[in-house]
Amino acid sequence: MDAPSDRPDARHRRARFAVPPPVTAIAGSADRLRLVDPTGCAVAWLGYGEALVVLGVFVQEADGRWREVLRDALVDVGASPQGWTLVERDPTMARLRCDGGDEAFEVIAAMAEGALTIERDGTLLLEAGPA
Amino acid sequence: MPERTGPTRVKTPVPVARVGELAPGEMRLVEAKGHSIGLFNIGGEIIAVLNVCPHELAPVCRGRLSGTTLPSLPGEYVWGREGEILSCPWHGWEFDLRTGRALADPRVRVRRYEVVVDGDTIAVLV
Repeated sequence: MDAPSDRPDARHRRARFAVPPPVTAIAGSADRLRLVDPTGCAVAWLGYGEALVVLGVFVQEADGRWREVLRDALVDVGASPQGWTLVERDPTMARLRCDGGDEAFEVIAAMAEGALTIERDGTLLLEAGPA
Repeated sequence: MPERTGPTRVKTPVPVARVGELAPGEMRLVEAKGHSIGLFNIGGEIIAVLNVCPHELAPVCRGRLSGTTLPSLPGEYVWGREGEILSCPWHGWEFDLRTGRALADPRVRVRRYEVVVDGDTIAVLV
């Protein structure tokens, strides 16, 4: 059986996802994560440590160029975090734990359908992708 | 525990192969909704993995399948789990295909997809 596809482009045949150069971490977000869309059409960098920051989100245009859609955005989690740690990650998503003093909780950041979403307990905190 | 893949999105089964096309120990690259996915037959279990390494985004599914050293007493050397460990072809990161997790850091894993076998058809939920 031939593998079906509703995206006839040849991205999946690339030896490696061609993503733009990494962005620089900013104060309070010393540890960086890179998440890619499973199709390779978008990439995001997150910084975490004292705060959770979206360092940059890029989406790929039809001509192959990368367009920045978000930079250096602090993620408001509705609490006063004292620190963030990585729980787990794959190339497309990450689960991060926030220690907020009396409370601790997790957020999930994921790339899908060309956009970055960050959720806490099913509540969308941030979404960034092609307009 | 079910694997967490991020915010809830509707996933649909996409047929990608027939059962007889994938012998034990074999891998086949397929595409579903633009996702490049490696289908592995590990002892009769079909495992689907995004063909992207979490380290440097290399085509991880083109790597070598082998085993690993198992816990053993001092002076002993026990090799096992042959055919269940995937090594990335670029930098050698090793992943347990049964869990998707990296041997060196279990917080890091390849992305796996749920597989549905319906009769002779293998589908992945994407």
